[in-house]
Amino acid sequence: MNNLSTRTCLAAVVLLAATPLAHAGGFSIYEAGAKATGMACAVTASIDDGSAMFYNIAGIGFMPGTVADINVMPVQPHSKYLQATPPTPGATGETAKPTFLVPGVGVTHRTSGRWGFGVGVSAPFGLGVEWEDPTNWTGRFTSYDVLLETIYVTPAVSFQVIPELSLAVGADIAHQTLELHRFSPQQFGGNNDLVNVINADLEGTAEWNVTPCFGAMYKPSAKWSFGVMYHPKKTMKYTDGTGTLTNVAPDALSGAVDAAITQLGGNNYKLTTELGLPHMLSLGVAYRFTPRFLVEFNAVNFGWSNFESLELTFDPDPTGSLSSTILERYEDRWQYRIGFDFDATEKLKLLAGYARDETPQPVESMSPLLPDATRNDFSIGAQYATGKWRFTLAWMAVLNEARSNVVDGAPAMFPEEQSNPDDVQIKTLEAGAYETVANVFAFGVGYHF
Amino acid sequence: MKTIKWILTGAVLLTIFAMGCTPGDPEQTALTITQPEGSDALQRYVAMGNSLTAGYMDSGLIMNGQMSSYPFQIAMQLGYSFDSSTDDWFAQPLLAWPGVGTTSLSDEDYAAGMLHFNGAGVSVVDSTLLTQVPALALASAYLSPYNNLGVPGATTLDVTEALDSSTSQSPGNSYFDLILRNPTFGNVNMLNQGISRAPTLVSLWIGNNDVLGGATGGDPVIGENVTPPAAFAAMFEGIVAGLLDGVQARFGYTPHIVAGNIPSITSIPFFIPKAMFDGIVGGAYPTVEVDVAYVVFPALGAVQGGFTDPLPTNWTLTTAEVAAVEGAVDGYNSAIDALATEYSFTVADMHTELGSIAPPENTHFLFLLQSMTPAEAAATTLFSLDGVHPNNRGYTRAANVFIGAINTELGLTGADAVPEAADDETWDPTYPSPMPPPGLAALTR
Repeated sequence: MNNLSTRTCLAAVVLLAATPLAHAGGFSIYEAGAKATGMACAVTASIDDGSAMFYNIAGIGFMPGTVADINVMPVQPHSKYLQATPPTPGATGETAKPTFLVPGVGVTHRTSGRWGFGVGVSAPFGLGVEWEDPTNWTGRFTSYDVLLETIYVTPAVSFQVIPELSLAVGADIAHQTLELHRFSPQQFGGNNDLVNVINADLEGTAEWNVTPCFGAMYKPSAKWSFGVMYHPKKTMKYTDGTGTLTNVAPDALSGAVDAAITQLGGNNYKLTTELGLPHMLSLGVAYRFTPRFLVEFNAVNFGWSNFESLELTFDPDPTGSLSSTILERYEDRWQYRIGFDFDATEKLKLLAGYARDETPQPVESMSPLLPDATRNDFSIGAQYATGKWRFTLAWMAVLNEARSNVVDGAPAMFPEEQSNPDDVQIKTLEAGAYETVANVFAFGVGYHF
Repeated sequence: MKTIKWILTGAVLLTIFAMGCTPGDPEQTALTITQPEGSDALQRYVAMGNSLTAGYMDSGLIMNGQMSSYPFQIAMQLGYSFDSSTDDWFAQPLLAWPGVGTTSLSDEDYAAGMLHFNGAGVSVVDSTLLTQVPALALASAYLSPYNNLGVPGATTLDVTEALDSSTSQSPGNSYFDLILRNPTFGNVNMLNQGISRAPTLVSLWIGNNDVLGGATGGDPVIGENVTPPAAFAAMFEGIVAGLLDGVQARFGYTPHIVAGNIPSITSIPFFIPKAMFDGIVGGAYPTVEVDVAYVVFPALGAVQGGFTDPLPTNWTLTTAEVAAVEGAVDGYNSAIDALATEYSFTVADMHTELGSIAPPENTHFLFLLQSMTPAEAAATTLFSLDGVHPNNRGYTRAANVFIGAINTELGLTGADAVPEAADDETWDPTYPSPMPPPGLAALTR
């Protein structure tokens, strides 16, 4: 076995590189505080706790004294998959149900004058999709486990231009890590199935990235409030990632796969890439219908077009078959959010909200890595205040609309992929429908010094 | 305190809501698969069958026979490549010199190679230590099932039941090990290996060994060493239905099938009419059985070699035995015809084709030597030295019958029709060593 299987394994590893690494479109996590979560994150014009460090840093200017909030948002995503027929019956898949803890911390201080300061920690982008039964999962050649974590540390300063208007500027200092695990296939055996021959573990930590961020909040009356939030786009650079290829082939192929790995450059690689993050622009308006009841509406624009493609460079790559460019072609999208804040009693606040979040992910790049879909988010929550303390509890149900990457009876593919037989084979294999739901819980504790 | 209770109650309710908030089952989506018709159905061809499909000749399987097998000749007409280094190679389990034959050797540690004409008679060209036989398999590294899945000795039952030499109907048939490659290949039978290649066109020629085993042994008994027609019909239907359903389930379309029917045993020179036999040996030779109609070919060599006893029962077929076997063959063919109607496939009428072959083309090479040079005899007969299987030229005839059936099945006429294979194959029964290995360079990987 040699030249033949080496050749086919080579093709398989090329395929490994040719499918998306971070195929995650809507990998935004817009939940940075418990109260905000309870209001479907429609808080740009009215935020009044430490999560202002993410939702609108100009909010610092309207919070007297020192405020500290610690929030944790356990997120439980759950996806199901049904392969398109043929084959009949289609294979099924289901993600594991881990809980990801999303932090949201903010401390603000407004001086007796016009200035305010603050620092916050949030995690506005992330992804965790781990499929059960990874060695048999249909989509394992694209991903059986992916984990993307992004942390923003945001220091900011605000200035009260006039009593009704606060402007703020800050810096988003971003840190990001990425893990992707997938198998590389080879057609083999009496059923001519795709079997796992190489396990690929790709990991990396991006360089720190700093961009400015801006906020404005205007409260012309006791009833009206307006807000603008802007976090610019980023490009996270991975210059020292690692790629590890491990031979997991059946015994009959093991020798050939070893030879193929050697020919490719060995088991270990340095991996470099860049991952584009979108800008976030939120325009908010809040209206207090009564002293106890506030409604806020936000339109949030995500500049997902910054996630156009992903260039992966492996080193070494003597055959040139590992490095590649992956097309993503995400599209800018507006989200619409509405939140309700009702003071049931002097101490108890009830929260609710709804968000419509249209997916930025073109159907062509929908995959097991992230089967994104347009979302409808429903949230409720409550906040209890006693003395200087605030305790907040909220829950958001993120309901993805059912989505399939089968379009007009064919697996959706970019034109460039249609001319690549390996892409066609994998896309056809993985074509199918997904249902996804995520539960976002939120717990917050705040203290007003 | 009351407020805290409300909050706690709310928290419990939230948790309950959240627990119940899980994704529903996705709705089934379907890919649109076009049913291959006409020339489109020529894209992926798979052959299933027995020795006749494998390209077996001269009592063995070797590359030069395989490179003339009727599936290979059809594949060449369909545009497949003979070069194994290409993606459109028509994959066969090619065997190197001296081939793997079925002649018994005195040393059981060795496997016989092909029979060849040594200038005076027929002998085994060479042999291979049994442990070295796998090394003869030039294409064993091919990672998918072969396009040509014909296994010498395979019966109808074997298509769905045999996985290897330990599970073949005829015990110890090591060709299954060489061709199906189980257990390495996951213990998958011939039918499912064929299905896995996503065939759009399948040739199926199976059933010959369901009668030949009993007939060549001289004592055919229906239900004992000859498959009863009803059982054959059930098994054949299982194969056809399994093939159609299997490809449909996995790939979303149904393949086109052309099925060869079963020739008469009297069509092959292995069975020598008693009168001819007597003429060759110079008189009415005694037999144990009465009313003997045919004598098997090995008896001739024995008598010419000095055997003087009456021919035993396993060397002769009586008129009644022939009738029984022919009845079984007719039953098989009736079943195939009926199933062809029911399942809409086309029959390649090999029964008529072989029945139409007349002397000297159906005369054994050794008989032709009485009036011809070896080269002339080799260029005349369509059968190989074993007297059962065609030689290279004979396989061209078979290929063209199948090609005709393919054109009928797919409605291909005129310029669209698959052209017949040229009658330019040659057969060299001397097997000069080393034999010319067509395509070998591409196979030594």
